[in-house]
Amino acid sequence: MYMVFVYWVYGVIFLGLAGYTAWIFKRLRDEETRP
Amino acid sequence: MRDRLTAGLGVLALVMVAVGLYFAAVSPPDENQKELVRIMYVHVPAAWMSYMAYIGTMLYSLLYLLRRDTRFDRVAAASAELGVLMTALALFSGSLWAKPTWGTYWTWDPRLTTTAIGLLIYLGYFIIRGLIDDPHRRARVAAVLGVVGTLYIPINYMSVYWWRSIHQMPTVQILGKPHIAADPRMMGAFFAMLAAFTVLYFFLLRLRSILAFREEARTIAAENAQLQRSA
Repeated sequence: MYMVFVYWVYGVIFLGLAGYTAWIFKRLRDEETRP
Repeated sequence: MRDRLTAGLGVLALVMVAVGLYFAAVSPPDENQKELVRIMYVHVPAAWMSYMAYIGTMLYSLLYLLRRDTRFDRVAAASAELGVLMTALALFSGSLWAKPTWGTYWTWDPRLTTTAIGLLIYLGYFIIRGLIDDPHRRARVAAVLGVVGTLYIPINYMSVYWWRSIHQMPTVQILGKPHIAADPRMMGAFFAMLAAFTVLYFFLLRLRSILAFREEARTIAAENAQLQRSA
């Protein structure tokens, strides 16, 4: 029961960080490929 | 393309997060909170990273005000963006922790309330940036807000001392005599993750600043090309 909240918190934090990092990398790639 | 220091910081941050996760997984459950104590190993580092980000915004805002160089403004804004993200993550993870421990996702506790106000201050920082077109005027106004907004940190940190609060006292007491009352394995997991998030902050700050630099360079090049065409 308690572990559900633990998994939720770890999921939110690391998905948030991974999503933000991926968003920066995507925009960097867009900048490089822009004509 | 991206420099070696940024790549090195990224690899180091990944390794340190993996080590932190290992320690967090093998640390013992708490006597009162049982498994829920593992939330502390990411919730507190997230809040710590938001503090670092706002201090970074303050330092680079001060540098801008002293040197009037927009490079510093770019880094200040990149740091504030990270601060907003980490404050939001700390608030969200905190509310998930609050449900099984306090019985509610949200309460108007001083620590929670001041954190929410801090989030609004830095969201306002970006709204103001978006309203001003002139780069130097934007940088100047944002720098003042970036410096004044840092007052949020001591108020937020001290809120659990100053007002009667449901939130626990600071995990690591930095004022007065340092005091850590926990199993060494728990503190190992806590400090491993704190160190990992510190490196992660510097990695993301560099990466976001590089992006801001490239976007600004492209905008300036496009404006110059338009000026030449119309001349």
